[in-house]
Amino acid sequence: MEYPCVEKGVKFGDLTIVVRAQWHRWPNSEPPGGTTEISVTLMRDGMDARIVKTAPFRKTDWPLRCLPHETPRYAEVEAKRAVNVFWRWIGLALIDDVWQLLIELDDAYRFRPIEEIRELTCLDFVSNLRSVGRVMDPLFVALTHLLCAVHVWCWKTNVDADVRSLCIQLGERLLEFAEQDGVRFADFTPEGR
Amino acid sequence: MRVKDRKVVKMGDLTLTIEGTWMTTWKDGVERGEETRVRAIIRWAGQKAWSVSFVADEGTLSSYAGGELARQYGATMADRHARQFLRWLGLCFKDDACSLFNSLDSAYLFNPEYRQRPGAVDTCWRLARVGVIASTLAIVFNQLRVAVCKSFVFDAQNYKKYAPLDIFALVGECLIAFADAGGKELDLAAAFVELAEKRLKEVSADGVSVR
Repeated sequence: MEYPCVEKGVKFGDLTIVVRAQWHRWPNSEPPGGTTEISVTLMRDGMDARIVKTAPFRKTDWPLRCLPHETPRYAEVEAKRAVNVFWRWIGLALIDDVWQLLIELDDAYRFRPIEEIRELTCLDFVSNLRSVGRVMDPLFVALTHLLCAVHVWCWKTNVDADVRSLCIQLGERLLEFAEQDGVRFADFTPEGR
Repeated sequence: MRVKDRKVVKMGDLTLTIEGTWMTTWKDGVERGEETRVRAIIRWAGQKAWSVSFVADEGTLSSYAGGELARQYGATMADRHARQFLRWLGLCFKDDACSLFNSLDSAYLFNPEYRQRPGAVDTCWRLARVGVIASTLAIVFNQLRVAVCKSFVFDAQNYKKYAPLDIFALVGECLIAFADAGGKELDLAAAFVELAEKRLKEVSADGVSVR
């Protein structure tokens, strides 16, 4: 059974990024466990080619506390959460808040062993580090393309703008965008230029 | 130019080859960069071999590329990264996550915690990169662990004898010692028995029974 796919897109200048997430149930797993997969598509205006990066976002390997007919609802909420969290992380990266990004990544993937507080087995540690690395790949690609899009916009519009301020503005708007559940698409290209 | 260095670890039915390859990379018809790749080749007796790999290091080519010095440099890099991988594998067996974390961080600087002004782009890139290495480590660690579990070490008699010494930690020590010694081939079973017997003697000499 295919569960609902959730997507949220952002446009800046000539770049459009769409983040999609879908929860997949593991075959024959009872009670149902699964993986939320995230997919990032990058498109440039006037170009047919697109970049698509996919990564497992989160594994849900504990029994779901819901009745079978409630699983699609769970899948949708899980996918929505993944999309919003991913946009939030891109926002944090754009405003260069590395500490907060690190804390949130570590909360999600538990990849830092902390003596006497978080004792990880080596297998858990390498496995968690692999998981965070997989998510970082699409995040890195999206981030660098957004940074390029900001530079390209400045160059094309011939605006003498502070690129860093623009990035921080964009990052803050992405953080707000990540909080909004009903909005599926937003154009963050600065207006009036 | 391409220089390879191979380390072979044998344990029961498994032959694990860690291959470090240093090579120059070409772009637009010009030799511009260098890359060191580590490949772990897993061969179970009677089965087709398969491999996993990652790029351990890459950079711009130094001006001495092409000469004998470059070959020596390449050989050193290939050897160094293959040994480093074996050391990490040893730490996995010793279940020393903190040391493994610190060692990976020293090599790839992915943890921005103690760095001054780490950039988000840099941090994301480094985490993505170290993730590929962790993935390779996890796969190879699992395969070698299976080989150890299937070997004579886990026969009832031997298990009873060696279990109090912490079997996996001893395997880890053997791998680290092999990496430090810079050998080419390791009979892990023999090295394990040698180390385990030595430990048993040490314990007996202390007058403390481990059985």
